Amino acid sequence: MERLWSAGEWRTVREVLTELLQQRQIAYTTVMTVLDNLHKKGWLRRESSGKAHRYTPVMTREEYGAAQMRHALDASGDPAVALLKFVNQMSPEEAAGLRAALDAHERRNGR
Amino acid sequence: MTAALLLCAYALLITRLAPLALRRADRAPRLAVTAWYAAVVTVGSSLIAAAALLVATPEHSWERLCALVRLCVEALQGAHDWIGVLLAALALAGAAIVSFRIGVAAVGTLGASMRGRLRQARLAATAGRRLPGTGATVVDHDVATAYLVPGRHATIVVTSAAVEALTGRELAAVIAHEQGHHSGRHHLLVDGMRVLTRAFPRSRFLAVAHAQVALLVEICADESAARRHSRIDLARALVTMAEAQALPTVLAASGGDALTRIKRLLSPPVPLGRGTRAGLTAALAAMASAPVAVAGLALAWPLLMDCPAPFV
Repeated sequence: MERLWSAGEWRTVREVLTELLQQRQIAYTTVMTVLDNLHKKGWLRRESSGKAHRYTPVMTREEYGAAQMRHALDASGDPAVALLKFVNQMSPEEAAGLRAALDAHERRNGR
Repeated sequence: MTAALLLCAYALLITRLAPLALRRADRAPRLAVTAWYAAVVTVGSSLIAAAALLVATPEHSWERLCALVRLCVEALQGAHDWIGVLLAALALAGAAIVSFRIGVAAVGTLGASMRGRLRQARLAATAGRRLPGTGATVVDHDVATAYLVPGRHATIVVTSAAVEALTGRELAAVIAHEQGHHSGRHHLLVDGMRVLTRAFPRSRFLAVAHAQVALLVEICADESAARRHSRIDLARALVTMAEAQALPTVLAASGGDALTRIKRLLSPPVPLGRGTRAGLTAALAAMASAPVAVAGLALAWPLLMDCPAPFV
């Protein structure tokens, strides 16, 4: 995924493999399977060029991050996922109450 | 029989007293978490011990309780075994139902959590980038939030909006808070309560215990962040993020917890002294071991005494 994002254009399995091989040992079939899975999951668009397939991301990195974050925020209401959030969602009135408490404290301390 | 009734009364007493006694427990948040778990264990073991006593000593208890109707009992001499069998069957069925409910709740809750956490960790690893100088991962999103994906693939995720909204010191304090969750293994404490509340959704006592443990682990994480960062930075970050995430559609639920945390951050309570803390720990140990001790005593009593006390 990272490779395809930084490429910013259509890539074949072979091209992705060549780039990955500079960093670590990896088999052609592994890359092919990963790309195929990502395509099936709807993350990659695919087109045929000759015998090989060429892939490009459906979403940009930003869109992808946003999609997963939306998911994370939606899921946070569901206790099953149980992430330890710094602060849970609340109503604007409650948030205003927090701000008031903080402001009152800062006024008391002359700031 | 009396011992079993005593144990039931003890369990009832603790479900009533624990919420009152632990209401102002934030002077020692970690001890308070222990206290909640001790209370839950005490109630559970009291009820189990009471049931065990009823089954284990049906003849004794039956004969003594029915001293007044001994004639009737003697008439039913042959039925003692039958009652014993019935009680044993009831107890076995009860034990099976309880273990089944806890088992189902554990599989349901923990399975969903693990899947969700694994997916979160994987997504953060693919879509996020490292925040230099910290252990956190930044993900692009326009709502300022931060959270820990707990477990084996533990990741602290901060959104890009949070990085923009907070000052460097505030952000560091937030990350320290999440690190506090991680090093304290807080997700296990919350998971335990989630399993129990799901297994026994009608228990008010467990619901209160769950909510309190969830608040107390946040306070623990705040405290661990406050050790190395300023409290006011953490408080400011909390307010900023609360405002960023606020939605009119969210039911008032978590705001109370956040307000408790803010007040605590701004004017920290005096921590409990070492002596008080040790005393309370001893009291908790006594409270939690009482049911087993009572049950053991009740079982051993007839063997210890030639002429057992009439009320055991």
